Amino acid sequence: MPIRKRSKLILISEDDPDISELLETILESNGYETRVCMDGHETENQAKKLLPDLIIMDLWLPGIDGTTLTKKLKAKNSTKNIPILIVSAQNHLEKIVKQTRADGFLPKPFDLQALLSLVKKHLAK
Amino acid sequence: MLSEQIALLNNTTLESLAEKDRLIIVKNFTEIGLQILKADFAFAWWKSDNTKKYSLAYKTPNTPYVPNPPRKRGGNYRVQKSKKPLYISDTSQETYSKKYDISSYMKSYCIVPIFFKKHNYGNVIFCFRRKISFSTEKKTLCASIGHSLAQTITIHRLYSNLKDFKNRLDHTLDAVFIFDPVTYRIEYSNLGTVRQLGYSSKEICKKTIIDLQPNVDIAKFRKLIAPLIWKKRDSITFETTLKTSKGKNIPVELFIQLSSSLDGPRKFLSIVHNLTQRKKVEMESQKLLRQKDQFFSIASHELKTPVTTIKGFSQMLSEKLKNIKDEESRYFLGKINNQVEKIDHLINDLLDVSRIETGKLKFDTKELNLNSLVHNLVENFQYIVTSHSISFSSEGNFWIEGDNQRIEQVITNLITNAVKYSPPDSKIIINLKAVNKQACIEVEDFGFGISEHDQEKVFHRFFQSKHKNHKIYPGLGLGLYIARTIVKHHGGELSFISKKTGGTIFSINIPYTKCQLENAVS
Repeated sequence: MPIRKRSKLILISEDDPDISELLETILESNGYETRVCMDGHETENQAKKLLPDLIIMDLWLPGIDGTTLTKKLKAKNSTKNIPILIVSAQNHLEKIVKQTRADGFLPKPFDLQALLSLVKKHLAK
Repeated sequence: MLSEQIALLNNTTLESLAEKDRLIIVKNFTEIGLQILKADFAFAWWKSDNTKKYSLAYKTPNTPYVPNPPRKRGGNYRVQKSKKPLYISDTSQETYSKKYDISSYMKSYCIVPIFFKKHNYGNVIFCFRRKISFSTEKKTLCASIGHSLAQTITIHRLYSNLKDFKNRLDHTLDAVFIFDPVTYRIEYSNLGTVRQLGYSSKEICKKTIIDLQPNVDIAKFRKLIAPLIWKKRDSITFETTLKTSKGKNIPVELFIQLSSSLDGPRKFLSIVHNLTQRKKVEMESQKLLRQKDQFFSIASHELKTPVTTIKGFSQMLSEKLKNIKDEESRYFLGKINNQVEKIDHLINDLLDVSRIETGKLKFDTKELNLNSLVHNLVENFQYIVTSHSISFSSEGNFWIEGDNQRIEQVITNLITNAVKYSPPDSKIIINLKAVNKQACIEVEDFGFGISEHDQEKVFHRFFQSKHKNHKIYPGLGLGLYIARTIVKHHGGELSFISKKTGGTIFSINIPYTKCQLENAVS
């Protein structure tokens, strides 16, 4: 009997409820477990507590903004290896990825297939 | 005797130069002429500069009647239009005098023209109740009176023009300096200088033009004015700051010209235009542009949130409909998705234009392989666009220093336009080649072309083609404006040719960093 692997946990940090629901739905229907955080502080706490397999990070977040939070998580030993994907409507995401040492980015509005393949790619690493 | 009378005339000349009114000069000379010639009474005509009509300028108090000014027809006096005086010894013998019956007032008279070079100012008429003969000496005196009067008036005219000019210069709002080209010492300054910089004329004439500029030293100033000294340019204009008497620095535009008179030494003439107000307006408008940019940033971010949701859920719905094979509903959803994509592009274009205006359009440059970039784009288009056949060929491999996303944006814009403005089933040819050490990407279509009328406006903001033969295409008309700005930022040029046979070729020329030419066809 094959050993059933635990499904991968993705932390969604997004303050817009419709977008977080969209992300939740598409990721769950593709076999991922998700947890949604509506603000920066909550994301930080959950990331430390749950140590998810991947974080999808919006930039304009209440509490701590996405840029600061990504830098913070990447600086901490316990969380620095969690892949972080920045998904935002802001311009120049490439630059922000470099600054924050995040692992990838996807500009909003995104294509669902592009999202899934990006997530898959970073979970496989 | 003659020398005494000439001396009297010279004296009158000197005294008259200080007069404010030209007619007083005429009066002075009429009176002194009366005395010198021992005439009984005299009067003078003045010819107006503007109307060219004669009017009575002066008559001695004992003139027995009011002389009517000469007119073209009528009037009881003639005028002397030549340079030489006219002498009438016997009025009873002269037709003119007989005609107007003036012999009862005088037996002899002479008309002295006030003539200098080509300028006729008028006449002075000296009248004698007794009959006299005009001796050579009298004639010389008459001519001398006319000459002296004309010269005095001419000098007076020039002097008052000069005074008027200086007055105007003194009162201009801009500060005007004249300074020495060797020592740079200021030799003249107008009242504008006092008003703008606070120094009095005396104070400023102790300074050099360099003393006034806190940010410019002598070496820098020499360099600035070198083109004037070497006569490479007639004038120069540059922005600098000047220090006021109260120690405040004000932004100014300095215009400097090397002025040389015929015989005088060469001097620098400098006009200072205060830019404080302009700088203030510029700063205000920069502030407004920044605010606008901030607004666009926030607005575009906020607009993209609902777009993300609509796009995401419609894609999910599309997957579901695919599973239950409801192709018609999927077709409708496809339409929704297309429109959402358009909204996204419009938001991006507006944001880009706002960034261009504030100089904030950012570029993330690195070395790019153009072949793979164009190849991938064309492949994507071939997949999406079914109405046109899109092909790509290349003369070799090209690398440029550039921003991947931005270059993609330019080429995407050109291919999208080619699809938009050419009929279905026509070809779109994309060609990559070397032109003058630059990589040239050509996008050729076989569509409507660009009318001559529209050609110069194609790269303007908000320009939209409205050709009478085809429909108006939706959009904001920003794509080519943005594309050109991006290409220029890469040190290149975006241009086009509208073919006579129909269709257009747009060319992007960007300097390459590396190039391997081959006969490759992709």
